[in-house]
Amino acid sequence: MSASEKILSLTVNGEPKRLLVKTHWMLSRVLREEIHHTGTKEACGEGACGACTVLMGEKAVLACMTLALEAEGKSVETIEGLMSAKNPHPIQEAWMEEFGAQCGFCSPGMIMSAKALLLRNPDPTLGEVREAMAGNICVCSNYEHIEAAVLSAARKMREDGAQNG
Amino acid sequence: MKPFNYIQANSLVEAGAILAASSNGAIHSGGTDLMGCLRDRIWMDEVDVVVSLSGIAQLKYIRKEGDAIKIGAMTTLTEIATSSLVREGCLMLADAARATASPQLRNVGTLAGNICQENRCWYYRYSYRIGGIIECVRKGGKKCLAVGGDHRYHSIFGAVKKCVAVNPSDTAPALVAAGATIITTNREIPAVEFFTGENGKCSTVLEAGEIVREISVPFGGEGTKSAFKKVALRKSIDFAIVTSAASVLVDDGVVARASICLGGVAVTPHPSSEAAALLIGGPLSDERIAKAADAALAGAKPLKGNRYKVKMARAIIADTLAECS
Amino acid sequence: MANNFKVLGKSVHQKTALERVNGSARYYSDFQIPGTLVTRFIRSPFPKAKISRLDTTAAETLPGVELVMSYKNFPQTFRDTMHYVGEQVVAVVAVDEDIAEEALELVDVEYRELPAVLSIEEALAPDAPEVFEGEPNCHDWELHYYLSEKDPESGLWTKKEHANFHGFGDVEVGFAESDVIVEAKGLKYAYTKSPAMNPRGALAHFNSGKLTVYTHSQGMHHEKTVLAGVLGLNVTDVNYVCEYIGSSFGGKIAEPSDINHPTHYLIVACLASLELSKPVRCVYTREEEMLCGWSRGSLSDVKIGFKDDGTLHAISYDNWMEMGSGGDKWTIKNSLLATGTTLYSRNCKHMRGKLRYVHTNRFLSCGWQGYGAPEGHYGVEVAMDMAAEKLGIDPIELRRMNHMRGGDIDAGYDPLLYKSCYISSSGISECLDALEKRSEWKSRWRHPSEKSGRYREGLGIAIFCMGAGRPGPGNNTSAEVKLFPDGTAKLYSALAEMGQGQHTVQCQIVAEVLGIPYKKIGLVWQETDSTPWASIAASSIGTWLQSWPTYEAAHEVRRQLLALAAGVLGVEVEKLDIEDSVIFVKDEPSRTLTIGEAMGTLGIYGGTHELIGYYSHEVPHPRCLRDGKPGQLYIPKEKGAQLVSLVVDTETGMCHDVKVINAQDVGRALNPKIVEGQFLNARHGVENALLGSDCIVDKKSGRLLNGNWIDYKPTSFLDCDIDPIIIEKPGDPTHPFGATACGEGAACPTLAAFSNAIYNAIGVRIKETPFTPDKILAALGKV
Ligand SMILES: Cc1cc2nc3c(=O)[nH]c(=O)nc-3n(C[C@H](O)[C@H](O)[C@H](O)COP(=O)(O)OP(=O)(O)OC[C@H]3O[C@@H](n4cnc5c(N)ncnc54)[C@H](O)[C@@H]3O)c2cc1C
Ligand code: SF4
Ligand code: FES
Ligand code: FES
Repeated sequence: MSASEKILSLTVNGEPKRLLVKTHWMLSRVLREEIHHTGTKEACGEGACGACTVLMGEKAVLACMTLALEAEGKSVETIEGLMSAKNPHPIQEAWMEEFGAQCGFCSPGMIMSAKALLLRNPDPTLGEVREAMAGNICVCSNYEHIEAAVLSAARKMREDGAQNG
Repeated sequence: MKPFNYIQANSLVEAGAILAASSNGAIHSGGTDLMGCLRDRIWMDEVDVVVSLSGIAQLKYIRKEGDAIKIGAMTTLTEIATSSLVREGCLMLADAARATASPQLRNVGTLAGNICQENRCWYYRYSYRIGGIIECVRKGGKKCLAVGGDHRYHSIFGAVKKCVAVNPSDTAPALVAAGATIITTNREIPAVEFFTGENGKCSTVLEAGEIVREISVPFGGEGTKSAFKKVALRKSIDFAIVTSAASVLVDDGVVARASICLGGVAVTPHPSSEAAALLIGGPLSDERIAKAADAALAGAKPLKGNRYKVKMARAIIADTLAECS
Repeated sequence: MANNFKVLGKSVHQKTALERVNGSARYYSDFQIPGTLVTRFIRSPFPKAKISRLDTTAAETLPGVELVMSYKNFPQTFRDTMHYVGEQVVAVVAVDEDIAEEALELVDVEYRELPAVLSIEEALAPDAPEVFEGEPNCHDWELHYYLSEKDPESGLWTKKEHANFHGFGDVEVGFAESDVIVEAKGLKYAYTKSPAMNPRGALAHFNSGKLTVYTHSQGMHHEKTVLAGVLGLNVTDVNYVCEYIGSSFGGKIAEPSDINHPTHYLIVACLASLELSKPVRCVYTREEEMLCGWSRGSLSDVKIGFKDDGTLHAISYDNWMEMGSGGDKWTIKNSLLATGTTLYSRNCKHMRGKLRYVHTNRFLSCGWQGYGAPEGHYGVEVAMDMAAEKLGIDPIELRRMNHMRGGDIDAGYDPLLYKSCYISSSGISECLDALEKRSEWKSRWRHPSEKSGRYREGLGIAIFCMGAGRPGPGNNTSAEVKLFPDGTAKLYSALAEMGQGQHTVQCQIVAEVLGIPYKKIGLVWQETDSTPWASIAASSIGTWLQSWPTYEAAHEVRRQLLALAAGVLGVEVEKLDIEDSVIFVKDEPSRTLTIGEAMGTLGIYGGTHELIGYYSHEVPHPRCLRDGKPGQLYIPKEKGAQLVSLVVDTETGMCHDVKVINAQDVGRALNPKIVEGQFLNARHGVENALLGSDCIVDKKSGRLLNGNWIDYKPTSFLDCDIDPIIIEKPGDPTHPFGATACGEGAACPTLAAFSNAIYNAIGVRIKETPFTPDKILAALGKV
């Protein structure tokens, strides 16, 4: 191991991982190329589109702007972590119902941003949805559908929560 | 991106030591600006080590101490934007933080990083990938390409050391207008003196190895109102064309204290004490606001391609003041 | 089939919705093969230069470098003369990106700079340097035709002659006969970039004599065939895999045989893989995408003559299209769509369209989203607004009087085959009605002279028509349908799905025809090896083109199934129908069969295990002909109207409260949600109008200053609202279910609608896009 390589320990979608990474690798590269979770996309590589959004703890962050080693000891959630036992997450369900994905390339990042929002605000207004999602670009310009999907997901999750609680 | 070593420091002392031992170390707070610079390889000298402060939990706080809001260097913009203390005591700072970049970037981008960020001149930031980087005056080269080239987003208040790149920080004008103090590992620097174009690539007066540890913002007391405005082409994920921050204390219908600072218009945040002085002693009327706004832009020396920014800045400084009433 | 559809017309979920939302959809960059090599480029620092010295030995000998490519060893892809900043000089293929980048620094290259032209204006100047030596910068479009004779009975043009413009009648006479003439000169459509979320790239794997290419494509069979030819491989030895595209909007069409076409990622990956027999990845960064992706821009002059009552009489249209250093000149023909050849064909008696393409030392331009049509619409629809003012007629009314109707003649032509054809349906009047109502136009619209104060509202309208229908040769396309005894069916279709929803709609058609639930339709589309040929999905023709083979192939299966069922039930085929997977006798609905029973499948011995329908569609389908007469063709066109409302802040020059209402006649909305999604694309026009879309090039160095997504800005959630209005006018003959088209149209009228809205707010016409605050303040005389 040279000075340009280090061991990285983190949790990805609940699974502990330990791997050797180059010190200048970004989290997006490690998730995609080393852990083979290719659901996280890269569209700009410069922090300007949100395609690479993942959750670090409960916060939405950009995997293309995050050095992999900054995730040391952290818990990272990617789009792959959202499905539970074959069942789509309510956000994913809402996305399918409201046609949230056109080409789908922005969808993983969008959905992670939506999840971060709904974790801290289960009942957002349209304005709050827009502000919280405004770091994600959809070049298919599918925004109206995405907004509908986030609002519908919020409803589903509140209902599910009410049922389970 | 060029390979570099990466070390998470456990304390500022350790960070300082690592920087001192490196040939060209870089501080990493949120990394949202630094990683862009490294990715596009815009600098002439290679960074050999990146020292991350993200492990230093003690640098993350917002608290009130006496008449000041103390903000730890690693506090994120999201934390500042949503802090009730900051909203109460310095609304323009909270709103500036909220207007910065995008939600994800604000989640990791820090206040210290925001005020220490590199400029966004498109010649300066030109990626090495497409024909090689551009070595302009700011990087030790001979010429500023913007002055004779496309400078639509550049300074309307002249050059510093031939460079007309504006300071892109959204929080900087708010901090200057608030009369904040930047506390580093070595000293305390009034915000208005913190920014400079004299220091080569760096946009601050920081010396090599010097680290911002805290930002202290006076708590605006009863009667003080502040506001922040930003004009950018896109309503999110966009650097400002012009920003303005203002704080006004009206006592019994009369302006007792005022401060005004423009951003995106000059190499450093651009406060105008003349404009502020014009407001003091009378009501915050439209008429007096218009005079102050004129005064704030009186010294403007726009370039051929950015005269519109003078008009725009004048308009939003007036809007900002109006919002303080 | 009656109108009570079971599946069509409903917003059933997208066929691959789950894959798209759970991260399992594989875009080319998601395919990973162990041992894949990566590619990095040296790109030209100069807009025009000749390589005077190139030594790659040091790079070649760096451990980990497998191949260094340049004009010396790969002259088919690399040149020794550079035509724009960023043109590929050298490619390094290495085991990882760090080594590749290190190797780039070891390449010793020197250039001799040559004079360059960086804009249309520079390229047209009298002593301008030549972009390509020995070639003029400005070319007349070679396929200008004068339409000289008309068949009195059909109204179609029967004779075309080469000319130096395209049109009919005599514009000089036409203008002399006109009472009111408007001229809009020097309208400039900035050099803008095709949007694509996933930057382009490819992974090529040559192994055991077979090449597999993982990439994105709008027409994978076509690209694969051309690619095999270029590489000297048998078509059968190349498999093209394009599972998901990551949006394209036309900008990702590849033309591997043309060095001037931005397809180098593909060729480089393939050549390197062939050379090394290893998997090679060539993936562009956003900066490279900004450079190598397609652009467009043009200058236009429009002159329109009217009768006093507002009847449009004559149009003259001039377009100078910037092509950069190569690109696709065909784009330019679509700029005529907005003129008297098509959109205003109803009343236009005299038409003269003069098209020219201009080379510059900039990256390439090609057709994307509208393929030249947005440029034409920008000019014509701005001129129409100027005319409305001059004539004192409401802008909506003036369009209502003059727009094309179903049955009118489209002389916007396919230059290769047809002289003219019929517009199958229009619906623009209904769209205008809908906009008028939704926007409260009548009570809200006021002349700019009545507006004052700092904040001024503006309303602007523009109508449009776009491609949708490419009758030329080579547009045959096919589909295969298989039905299985368990009542499921599979569609084999290579039609590209970029997000526009074709996969879903095609499966809906199969379900509808077979009478089985949509959920029971599977789809195979991923690669050329397992799909029949499909034409390029471009010009918004997916619906028009692909629905026929899908429909016919499904019908073929239906016929076979009912024939089997008829045998089992002992009734005539005509007496049978299928609904909800149950075959029944129409007169005796209690007599039923399951699909399995009809197919009689018992196991390995006996029964029919699959029914197969295949149809290859030769364009045009007989049902697209008027009364079945050859040569008398109906073309659907994509068409509608768009309204922009905004508020101009006359102090900052910014536009606020931006809203776009897009109303479009789609004949029949086969899946309304998908149609709505297509209308949302009007946002690209918002971006081009307000967010500064322009490839800003430094005038001295030729470098693209905003070649990234921070400085070049796709619209975000916060920039505008889009309100989609679907208009349905069933009965269009060109589609089995009366659907027409929706795709690129929504991006065609937006710039004109913005120009008109801003004019309506401030009373000043801004001639150059984008309409940024600097221009608005200048127009207001404030700077
Ligand atoms: C797409 C995009 C959009 C953006 N939009 C905006 C915007 O609208 N407005 C705006 O203001 N900014 C914007 N930014 C810039 C910037 O990323 C953020 O403002 C952020 O606040 C920077 O903080 P950071 O902690 O990530 O900084 P870092 O990247 O960690 O650091 C920035 C610089 O400051 C130095 N530094 C960091 N911490 C310290 C310290 N404690 N002491 C001394 N030096 C230090 C670093 O060495 C580095 O040079 C944008 C960035 C991107 C990528
Ligand atoms: S403005 Fe400054 S940073 Fe930009 S080119 Fe000129 S000297 Fe360089
Ligand atoms: S890819 Fe990370 S923000 Fe665009
Ligand atoms: S669905 Fe294509 S980018 Fe959002």
